[in-house]
Amino acid sequence: MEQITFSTDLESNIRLMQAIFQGDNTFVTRRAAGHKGLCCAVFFFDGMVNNIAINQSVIRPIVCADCAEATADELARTILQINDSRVETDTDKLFAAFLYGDTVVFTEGDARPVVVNTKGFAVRAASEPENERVLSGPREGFTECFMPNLALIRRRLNDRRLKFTFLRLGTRTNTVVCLCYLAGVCEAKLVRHLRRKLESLDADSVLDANYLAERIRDHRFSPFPTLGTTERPDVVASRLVEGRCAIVVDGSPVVLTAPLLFQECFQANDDYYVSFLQANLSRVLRALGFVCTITFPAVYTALLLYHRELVPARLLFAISAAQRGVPLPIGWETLLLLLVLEALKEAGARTPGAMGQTMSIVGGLVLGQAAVSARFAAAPTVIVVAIAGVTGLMAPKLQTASLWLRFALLAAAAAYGLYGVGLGLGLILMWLCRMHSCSVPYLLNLVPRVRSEQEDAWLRAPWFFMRHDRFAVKRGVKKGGKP
Amino acid sequence: MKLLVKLLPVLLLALCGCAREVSPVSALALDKTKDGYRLTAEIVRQDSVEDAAAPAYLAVSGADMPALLQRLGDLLPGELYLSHAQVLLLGESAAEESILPLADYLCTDNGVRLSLRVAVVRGGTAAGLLKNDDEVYALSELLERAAREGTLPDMPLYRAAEVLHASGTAILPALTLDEFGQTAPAGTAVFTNSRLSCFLDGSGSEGGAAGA
Repeated sequence: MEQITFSTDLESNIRLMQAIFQGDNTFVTRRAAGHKGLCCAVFFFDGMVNNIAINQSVIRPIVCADCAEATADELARTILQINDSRVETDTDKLFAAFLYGDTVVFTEGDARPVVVNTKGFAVRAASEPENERVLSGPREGFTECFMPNLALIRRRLNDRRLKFTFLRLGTRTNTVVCLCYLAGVCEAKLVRHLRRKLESLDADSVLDANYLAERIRDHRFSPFPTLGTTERPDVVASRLVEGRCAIVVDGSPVVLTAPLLFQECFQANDDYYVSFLQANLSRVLRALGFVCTITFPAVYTALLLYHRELVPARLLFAISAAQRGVPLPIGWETLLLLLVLEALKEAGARTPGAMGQTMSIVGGLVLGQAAVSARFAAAPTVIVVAIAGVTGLMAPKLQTASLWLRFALLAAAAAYGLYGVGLGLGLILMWLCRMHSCSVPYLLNLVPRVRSEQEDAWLRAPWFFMRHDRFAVKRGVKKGGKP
Repeated sequence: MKLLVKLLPVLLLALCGCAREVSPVSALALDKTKDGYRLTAEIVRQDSVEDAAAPAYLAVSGADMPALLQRLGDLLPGELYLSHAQVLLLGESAAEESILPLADYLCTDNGVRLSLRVAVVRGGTAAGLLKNDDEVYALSELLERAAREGTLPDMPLYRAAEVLHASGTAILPALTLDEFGQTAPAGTAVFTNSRLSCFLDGSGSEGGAAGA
């Protein structure tokens, strides 16, 4: 970017600004003159600013000013009646703020511009996130607006150790990204690690949290998530309390949290708002559901291809009867039905509202029944694929892993039978063992080691047993370390 | 990309996984004929999920068990599937021959379960008794119930082979058709030197081995 230098002549500054933003019809220049002769120029983008704030806190004070001239400092300190105004000499920072909805004011005789915080663009109201609904508990969710998102977090964590560190990422988008953590609770090493990763990022645009997540996460090609994502401020607050970091990206309602452990993929927001008995049953079901969704089609295929002697006789006869007349071998049949299931899910997700529900019913019931009647597919295979599909929804954070592992295990089962499935599961376990999230082992707490670390791992202890220092990342922090 | 290359052999092998339709056998009956043996197989037929499994019978003749099974497999539309066969009936005349080679062959065939129950049919042919019941697995349920109640010895194939190898003497359950035409337990068949010697209720077998 070429060096921009402002002069003390107001008219030349106006011409310079108009030249820079030539062709942008939302760029507004407002000359304001005081009744004693003070001359100023106000620049802002239409639609990005709060018009009332500009009229009442910027234009009116200038027009009513009792002086013939004023420096930028005087303008910022004594004339403009707004809570956030400053003299900005760094042109990069000046334009970053200006493009983000701030107003720039030049005064005659001073080359330094004044930046006034007048952001006022339309934002979506906070609502409950569609993907993280709860039966009971708070229903607020993040929006695309940055500062209100930070306010939602701070409102829940009234702790002076809560830190928000801003960074700007993306050479084109210049997006504001905030690293949040509780100083003294979160390990400094973790904060440094994440900050270094963010600062070393070379991206031209950051339009959503996933733009960052894919770049900064460990094991980028793994289908298992190594960064947590949430749209709920209560979840972010609880993770910060546990000693994790959060990354808030402007323009995205999704907040990243790090590190993420494998067992967290089976945790849901509801777990903390309902009885621990109910929560633990749900967690066990989710874990079983994940195992079921990745292995069920593979085991079914392996049994019918290679190990029919393991199937009870009458069940085998029924399956054999259902398979009669189906044109495809069992492995291909299962694979194609799984692909159809994914296609239906994709179509349902992309189809708006009620039509999506209709699509699911037509796809799931009518198409499935018709396929069985027409002998395109056997009824047991449809049932197996349906069970895999339903159980795959039980752990939504592992949907990508479920999808890919299901296909991989199916291929292993078709090639090597149950030995292939066993080998595949062994490889997956080994893969998980060597994974890390921000230098924390991904399978931390897989086996019981320290009681405090187990209180909210695979199962959740009742709140009256739970201690606040239950997360292993901050193991070095002494219990009860209040500020 | 590297991962895809590694997975390629698995995917290619996956293409090989095309199983034939199976023709499950639930029971077998072996009778002696003039020029060898006659094997009758009870094949399970189920045309749709809603139907109940029904038996169908196929018979082949041959010199020994491998040849009989080979011919039976050739007759069937699907793969001859013996893993769910639960009963092998031996006619009296077939049992009077040494059953050790037969037991050894079936024990080493990985398609046959070691828990296959062997029974001797007393008076009449094994095929006749096999065809007497219209229900699949009726015979195996009868043998299992009788073994549980202690009215017939519990002697699966592998145990029979073991004791025949050890001492040449074994006992097997015997079945017959009673006066009402029903399949019923008929005591215990005693094998000496791997051949049917007598029945334990005192009556000797009709063959020449009765006095052995």
